[in-house]
Amino acid sequence: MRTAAPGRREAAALAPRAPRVDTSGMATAATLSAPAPSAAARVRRAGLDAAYLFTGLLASSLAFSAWVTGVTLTLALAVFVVGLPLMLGAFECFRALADLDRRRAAIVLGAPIPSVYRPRGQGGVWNRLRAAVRDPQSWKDTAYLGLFSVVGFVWGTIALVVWGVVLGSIFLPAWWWSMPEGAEYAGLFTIDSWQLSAAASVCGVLCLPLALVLQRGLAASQVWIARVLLGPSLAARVEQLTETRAGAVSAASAELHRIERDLHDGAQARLVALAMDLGMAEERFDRDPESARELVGEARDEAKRALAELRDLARGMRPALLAERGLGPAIDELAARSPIPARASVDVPRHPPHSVETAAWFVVSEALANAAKHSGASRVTVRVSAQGGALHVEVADDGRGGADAAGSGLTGLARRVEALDGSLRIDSPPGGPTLIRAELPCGW
Amino acid sequence: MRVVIAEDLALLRDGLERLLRDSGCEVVAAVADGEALLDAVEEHRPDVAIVDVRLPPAFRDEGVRAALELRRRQPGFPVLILSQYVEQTYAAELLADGTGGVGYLLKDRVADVRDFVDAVRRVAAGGMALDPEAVSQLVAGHDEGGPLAQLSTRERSVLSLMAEGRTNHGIAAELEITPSGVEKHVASIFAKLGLPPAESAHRRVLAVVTWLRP
Repeated sequence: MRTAAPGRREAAALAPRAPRVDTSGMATAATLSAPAPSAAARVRRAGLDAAYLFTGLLASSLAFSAWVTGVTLTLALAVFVVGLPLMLGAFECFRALADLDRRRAAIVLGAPIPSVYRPRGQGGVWNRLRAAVRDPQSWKDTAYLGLFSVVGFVWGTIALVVWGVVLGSIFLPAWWWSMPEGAEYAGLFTIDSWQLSAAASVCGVLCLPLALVLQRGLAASQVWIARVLLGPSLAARVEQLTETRAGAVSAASAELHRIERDLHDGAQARLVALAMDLGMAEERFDRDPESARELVGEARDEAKRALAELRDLARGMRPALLAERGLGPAIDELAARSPIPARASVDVPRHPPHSVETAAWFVVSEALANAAKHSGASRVTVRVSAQGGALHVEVADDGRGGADAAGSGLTGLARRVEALDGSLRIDSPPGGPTLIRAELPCGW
Repeated sequence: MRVVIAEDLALLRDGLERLLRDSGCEVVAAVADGEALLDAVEEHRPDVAIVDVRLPPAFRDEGVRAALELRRRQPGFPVLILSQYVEQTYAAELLADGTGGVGYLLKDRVADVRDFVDAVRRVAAGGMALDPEAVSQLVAGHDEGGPLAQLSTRERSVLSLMAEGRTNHGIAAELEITPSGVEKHVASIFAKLGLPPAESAHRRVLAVVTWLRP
C-alpha cells in the first residue's frame, strides 16, 4: 500500500477553500490593552513566573556544568590542535543550551526568543570553527550561559525560599492542627500556640502580594537578560539579512540564467526548426505533396518536443499540483512517487505564503530524490508542521548517511531557504541516519 | 458522437473544436469555465466532456472538481481531462468510483489527431485513456505489501498498457507477444488483484483503480 495519504487529504481536496480567520492575534492584542488584569490572569501570571524561575533553577545547573567544562577544557587545550574541535563542540553545546533557554523564555514571553545565527560553516572542522568564531552570537551565548549559571540559580533559589516561607506560613495552622499536643514550630520564630500559628498565617497572606511582586521582578529581569544576549541585535539582523539577500539575488540570477539557456537551446530552437519545416512544406505542396506531408509530420514532432521541454521548465518553477491543490496534496504526491517507501504527514492549519510553500516543496522533493539516489534507505518519513509562526519541514531516512551538505543540490536548497529568512540543517553522520530539517518563517 | 468542451483559452478551445469537427464529432457546446460546463452538460446531454484542469476563476483545479461533480451527478459520465501536466492524484480521484469512462491526457497528445480522437471515442464508450506519462509516474512510485507487489514485471507492463486504454491486440503488438499470451497475463492480473468476475471492460477499469488507489 502507498502510505502517503493522511486522513485529511480528501476533505482538503474537495472542500471549497474558505479563508481561515485567525483570532489568536486579536486575543493577544485584547489582553495587552486591558487596563487591569483579572484575578485569573494574575494567578496565571504568577504560575508562569514561578514555572520560569523554577525551570531556570534546573537549566542553570545544566548551564553551569556545561559552561565550566566547555570553557576550562577549551582554554586548557587551546594551545594544542585538539582544543579546536573541542571549542567547536563547546560552541555547539552552548548553542543548544541557548536554544533551550530561548524556548524556555516562551513561558513568560508567550513566544520563544528568535535566534539569529549566521549560517553554519560547511565542510571541515576548520571551516565550521571559523564560522562559529566569527559569529558574534557564539560569544553572546557563552556570555549568557556564564551569567545565567549564577543568575538562574540565585533567582530560582530566592523564589523557592520566598514561596516556601509564604506558603508555609499561610498553611501553618493546618500543620499545627495535625501535630500532636505540645509540639512547637521553630522556624524564624518559635510558635507554640494556636493563636501564634494563626497570626503567622495572616502574615503569610499579607506577604503574598509582596512575594508576587518580587517574583515578577525576578522573572522579568531574568528574561530581560535572555532577550538582550540571546535575541537578535539590530546589527546582527541587518548583517544576516544583507547576507541572505545577496545569496537570494545571486540564486535568482543563476536561476534566470539557467532558464534563459534552457529556452534558448530547447524550445526556441525547436520552434525555429518547426517554422522552417512548415515553410519548406508550403513551398513543396504543389510540386511534391508526399515530401510536404513528411515535413509537416516532422514539424508536429518538433512542436511536441518543444511542449515537453517547456513543461519541464515550468514545472521546475512552480509544481503544478502545488499551484492547483496546495501544499498537503503536493507533498503527498511526492511521497507517493518516491521510489523509497515514504510516509508523509502534513499538518498546516493555515496557508503559508506561496514562496514558503514552494520552498518547502523543493526541500521535500530534493531530500526524497537524494535519499533515493544515495542513502540506500528502506523508508523515509516526511513531516511538515506549523510551529510558532514558522513552517517546519523534516525529512528523515534510515539510510547510510554521509550526505554532502556542500553538494550543489543541498547548497541550492540552503540558499532557497535562507532567501526566505529560514534555516536548513542537515544531520547526516556517516553510517546514518539522515535528517534534513528546514524552518521557514511565515509571518503568521 | 456529441462532445462538450471546457477550456478557458479561446485559441485552444477553437482549435479543439475544429479538430473534433474535422474528425466527424459533433461539438454541441464549447465553454470557458466549470459552472458553464455543468450547465452545458445538463442542457445538451453529450456523450463525453473534454475538460481542462485549470479553469477560471482561480485557475487551480476547477476542471477536475467540475468533472468530479459531473460524475457525482451521473455516475460513469465519460470525462476526458486535458492538462499541461499529469498528476496521478487526479487520475485516482476520477477513477475512484470504479465506473470507467475516464480519460486523462497531456494537451500535447492532440497533435496525434487520430490517437486523440480514438481516445475520445474510447472514453465516450466507457473505456479508459490514461496518459503514458501518468502511467510512468505510477511505475516509478513505490509499492510495498499491496496486492500489486505480487504482479510480475511482465504483468505490470500489461497493466500499464491497460491503463492507457489499449486493447489486448494493442498490448500484444506493443509487447511483441501473442494475443493469447496477453489474455493469460490479464487473467492472472485479475486473479492476483482479487477482482470479482464481471464484464471484462469493467474489470479492466477495476484493475487500474486498484493500482491508482493511494
